[in-house]
Amino acid sequence: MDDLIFTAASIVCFLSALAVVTRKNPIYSAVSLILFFGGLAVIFLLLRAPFVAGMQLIVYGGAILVLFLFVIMLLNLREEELGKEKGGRFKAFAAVAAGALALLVIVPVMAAETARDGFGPLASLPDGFGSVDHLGLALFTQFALPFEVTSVLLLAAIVGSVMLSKKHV
Amino acid sequence: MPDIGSAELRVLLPVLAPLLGALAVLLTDPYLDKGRPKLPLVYIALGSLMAAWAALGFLWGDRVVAWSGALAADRFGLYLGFAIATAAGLTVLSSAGYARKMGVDCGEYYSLLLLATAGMLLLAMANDLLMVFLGIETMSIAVYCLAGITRERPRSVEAAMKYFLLGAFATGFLLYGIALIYGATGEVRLERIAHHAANRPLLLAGLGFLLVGFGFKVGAVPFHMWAPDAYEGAPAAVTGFMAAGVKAAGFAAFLRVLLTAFGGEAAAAAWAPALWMLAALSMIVGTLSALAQTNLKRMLAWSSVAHTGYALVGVVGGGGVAGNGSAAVLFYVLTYSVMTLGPFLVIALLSRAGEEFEQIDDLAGLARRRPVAAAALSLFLLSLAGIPPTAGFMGKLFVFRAAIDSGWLGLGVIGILATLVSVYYYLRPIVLMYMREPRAEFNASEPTDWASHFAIGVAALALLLLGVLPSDAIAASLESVRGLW
Amino acid sequence: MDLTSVASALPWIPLLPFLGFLINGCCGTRISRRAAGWIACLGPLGAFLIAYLGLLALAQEQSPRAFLECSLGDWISVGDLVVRAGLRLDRLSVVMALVVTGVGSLIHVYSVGYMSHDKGFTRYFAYLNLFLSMMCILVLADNLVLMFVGWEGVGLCSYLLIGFWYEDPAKASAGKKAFIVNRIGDFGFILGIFLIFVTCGTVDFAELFRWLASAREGLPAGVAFAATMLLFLGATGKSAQIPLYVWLPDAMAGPTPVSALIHAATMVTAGVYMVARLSFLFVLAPTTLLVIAAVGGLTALVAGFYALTQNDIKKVLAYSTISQLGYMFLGAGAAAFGASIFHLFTHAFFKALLFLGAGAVIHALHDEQDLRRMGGLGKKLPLTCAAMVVGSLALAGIPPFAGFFSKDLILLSLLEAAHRTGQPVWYLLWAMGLVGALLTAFYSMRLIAMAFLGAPRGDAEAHEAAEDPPVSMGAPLIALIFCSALVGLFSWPKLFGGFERFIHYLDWVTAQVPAAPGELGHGVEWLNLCASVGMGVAGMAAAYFLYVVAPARPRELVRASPALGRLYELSLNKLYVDEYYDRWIVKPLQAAANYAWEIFDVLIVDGFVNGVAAWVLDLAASARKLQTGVVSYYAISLLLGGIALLGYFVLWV
Repeated sequence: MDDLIFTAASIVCFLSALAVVTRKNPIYSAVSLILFFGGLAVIFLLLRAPFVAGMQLIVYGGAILVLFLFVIMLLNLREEELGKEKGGRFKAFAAVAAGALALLVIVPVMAAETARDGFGPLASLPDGFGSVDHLGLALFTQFALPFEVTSVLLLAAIVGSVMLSKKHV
Repeated sequence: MPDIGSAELRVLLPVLAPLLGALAVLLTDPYLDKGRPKLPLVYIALGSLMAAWAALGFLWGDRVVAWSGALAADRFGLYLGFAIATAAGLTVLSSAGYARKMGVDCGEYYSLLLLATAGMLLLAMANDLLMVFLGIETMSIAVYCLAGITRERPRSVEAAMKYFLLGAFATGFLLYGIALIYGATGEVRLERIAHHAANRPLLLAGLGFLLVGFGFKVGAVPFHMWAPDAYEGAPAAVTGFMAAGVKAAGFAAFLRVLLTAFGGEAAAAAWAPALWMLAALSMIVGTLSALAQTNLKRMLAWSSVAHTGYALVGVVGGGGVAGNGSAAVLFYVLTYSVMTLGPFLVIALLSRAGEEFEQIDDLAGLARRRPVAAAALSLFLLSLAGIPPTAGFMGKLFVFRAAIDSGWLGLGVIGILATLVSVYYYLRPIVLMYMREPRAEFNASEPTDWASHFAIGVAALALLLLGVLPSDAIAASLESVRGLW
Repeated sequence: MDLTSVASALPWIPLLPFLGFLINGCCGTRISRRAAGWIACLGPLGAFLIAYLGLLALAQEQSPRAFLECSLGDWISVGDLVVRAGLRLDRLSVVMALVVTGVGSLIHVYSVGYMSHDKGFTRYFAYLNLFLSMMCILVLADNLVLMFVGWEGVGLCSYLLIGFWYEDPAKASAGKKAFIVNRIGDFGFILGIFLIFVTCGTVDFAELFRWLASAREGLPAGVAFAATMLLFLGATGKSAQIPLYVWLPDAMAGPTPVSALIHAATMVTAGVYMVARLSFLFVLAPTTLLVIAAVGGLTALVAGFYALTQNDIKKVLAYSTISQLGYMFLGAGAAAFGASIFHLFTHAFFKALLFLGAGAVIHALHDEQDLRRMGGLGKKLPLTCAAMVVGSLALAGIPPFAGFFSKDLILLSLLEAAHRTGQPVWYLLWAMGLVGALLTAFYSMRLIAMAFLGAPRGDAEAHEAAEDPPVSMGAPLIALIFCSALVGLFSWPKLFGGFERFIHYLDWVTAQVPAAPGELGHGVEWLNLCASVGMGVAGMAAAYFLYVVAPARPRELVRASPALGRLYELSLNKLYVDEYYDRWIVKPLQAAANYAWEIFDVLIVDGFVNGVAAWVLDLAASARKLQTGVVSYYAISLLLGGIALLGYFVLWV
């Protein structure tokens, strides 16, 4: 059953991701992205990470995508402003490069799959791994500093975007 | 629950200083008169950077690891931390006049500068891959914005845009690498990753992705494409900070990851040939491309690509285990950050309101109008070219020697050849300054920018000191590398 | 004389001129020209006195190998790398130091008069003092790295002084040419130092000597050959030997006293000095020695050939310098390092004299350098004429002037080498040296004839107004006349019951090759002496005949015989070497640089389009419109690089 859901979600992810980069109209791309996030959330659920799955939907699928759509609609680009479609050979090149990159990830993952200790210590996962309380505990104990530093990162981003959007200095 | 006790706080001090400075700048800015020079912001920024310096000095000593191993205050990180804090301080000094000329004398400018510094210092001390990522991102986001801060100049905005887009792309690689490494080992802490056998494909693939990300940050060929445009478009003071600070912080983390997590012999044997290629390509492409430039900033961008190659020579020559090569890289990056910042300080000094002083031909006859600036610029260029008795010579000497000592003769020879070719383009501005009639007009009437002159003087003095009496700095770099374990 | 006190004064030899540089360089605009001139001259003079004290101190020592040493402390001391810096005065370096500071002082004094009207007066003396300081460091250095520092320093000063009149682009570019050609040599020098350091673990001369003496298996022959060849490449750059001599004639663009000091007497001899300093290393590589001798012989011949037809008085002297440096390398190649340094010693005096004399002529004629517009100046400029005649006689090797003794010794050393090694090639080199002597005598006499004899051919007014130089320029000339005439006596030949004192003085500090069993007979020595004097006299007589007795003859000869005309053309155009270099090295390099730029910047960075991917031209169009479109190409490079890197890690390792 898990395998079936995983396969279905993966296919949805793959196709919607493909649509994101191939659609010419940005609205279609953005909507495909929502679909992609949905598929990803399902995979997270399968991986016993319900909190991440929820965040994926709320933050990415909800907040960020809505922002994207707002911006796209505010710009209100007309057909001719979107620029010409990229050449077929460019697309072919992109496909080949993406394929090569994918292959170079798949090969080591498959190798890890067949090797005895290919992956990290998966078997020893504690009960409740990926749950909210577990995650919260990790964030405020072992990963307290990265968690706090993220706020510095966001501060830098806020100051930067305020500066870039101010009319006068 | 880690004890938020003294060790935790102590280790954070160098980062907290610029961070609090950034907040103070943001909070002070609204209360200052518009239209008047915002000197208080400069004082705050300088003060916080001096505090960071003091904190770095205070921590200098034995290795202290805190925050569940996320952050390590050891000589290795602090060594380049000094370079970062110094570069930031000199940039602030030069910005006091420059930011006004370019119309960006505002709180955001200084706070972004300080936030970027905080990110760099975090990066230099980061001891797990998460902190590496966060440090890189904090630094980068601030620097992207700084590159585009002169918004009326289209090239500045373009530079910021390109740097940002490509930077995001490279960050993707970096994150993917971290993910793969985590997948292979279940660890993000560097010294624990080292416990896992290095010959596993998943771990190696992760390392490959990491190298792309780091290669982008330090500007190694073929991940260097952003450098010429970003260097050229960004305002001069920011470019200098970018060239010095980003590279120093990038190399600090790069080297720490390689030495700590992938320092075993098998791992080193895997990455050394790859870095060999990056180093050779960087030196060759950087040097040859710099030959044909007419824009000083662009030329310096290509030169920085070549210098990344020289530093990578030392990384390859370090051979993973604590050899002289890794120490040579630290020393090289230290000297490089000073000598690459210098020319940009001079450019910033010579720029006029809203107009950058960046064409090499504009330098003609500079020696007669601005003798101090010309002499300083000559010194910086001679050092970049590696001519004794400047620091550049010492740096190259140690890096090449380390490579040749550990058997990488070919790389050493490529480096020496590239150095020889590079003399040509470093010398051309000097020839122009001293041996040609002035073409552009120089504005002699404007008041002397003492802060800028002071910054340039400090950089020049540092280069001469590091060139003539390098022993202490080199000894410290050796200790730094030994202190990693 | 207290050894230690002299030793502790050694740093002042480079420091005194350096102080002059600092004062003139920093506050040159604030002090009077008079004061600047005094300051500039006092530094070298003080350095000369200290060097002389050093000579006296060395003379008191019992051991001929004695030396004065002054450590400057550990320059770099980290881990296993320790570079000590120190100054060292032994018999070899004291000779060099005396020449450098002595001739240097005279030329400084001369310059006060020569440059008196130049607006860059203080700048000139600042550079000149800096040069002298660097040269002293080069000479006194006790290790290769410090020597290299001086080596680069003099190169920098030479570059600054050649381009001294930078307003003239030709002169500025001559400076650049000198700099770039020298970098090729320096490249060899650096690699040589690296190789020595990697093999022997030291760059200190004394330690290197000990290492070579004590190492059980000694230096591998291949390493010795490679290291010495690399070092010699450095010497060919600095000392203007084939194939790197092309910068020296152009270097004549600088002020004439600079040509005298840097490009005749001191800096260009640094290569010879370096070979002598490391003679204990060079004797381990007999093949290199042969190469050195061959290069020297060829250079002596070819440069002499060029000098035959040059019309610029300074160019004649420049080629003559190259040719004489060739002789020095001939001697060094024959392992007669003492003879080689002796020729360096005499040459410093008479070539400085010739240049300063030429400078006086140029000064008197208000910057006229063309020999064809001179003539008949002998009566107008008696002192200058006397200086040039003495200098030329010394150059041509006419006894008893200085050049005779040293050249004779070098030629003799070639015969000895032939005797010692049994290789006939040394006879060929000897013959080349003899032919070179003939050419030398010919162009020396030609120069005298064209400038001072015959009827005036130039501007009559200028000729009328010409007069001997003022005291400040005249006094150094007179001093150098005496030196050029007399310094040869330091090495009175054995043949005449002499002791060859100079050579034996140096014997102890330069390497000795085992002598051949049995001596060269007196007959051979007489033959050598007669041949060399004969060549000198014959060359001068021929030139006298062609340019004074029958001035129309040269042209007739050329017209009568096309082969001779062709030869004349070849000499005048210097075998077209400059053109060949331009065509086969400079132009291709420029093209390669441009090409590389196009490939890397235009093709890959700005485009990627034109070559590899014509198929994405349509995208380039939108790229131009949107500006940021180019980013995709940057991203492609990143992506391809990433794929390559990953491919390596995943599939290769």
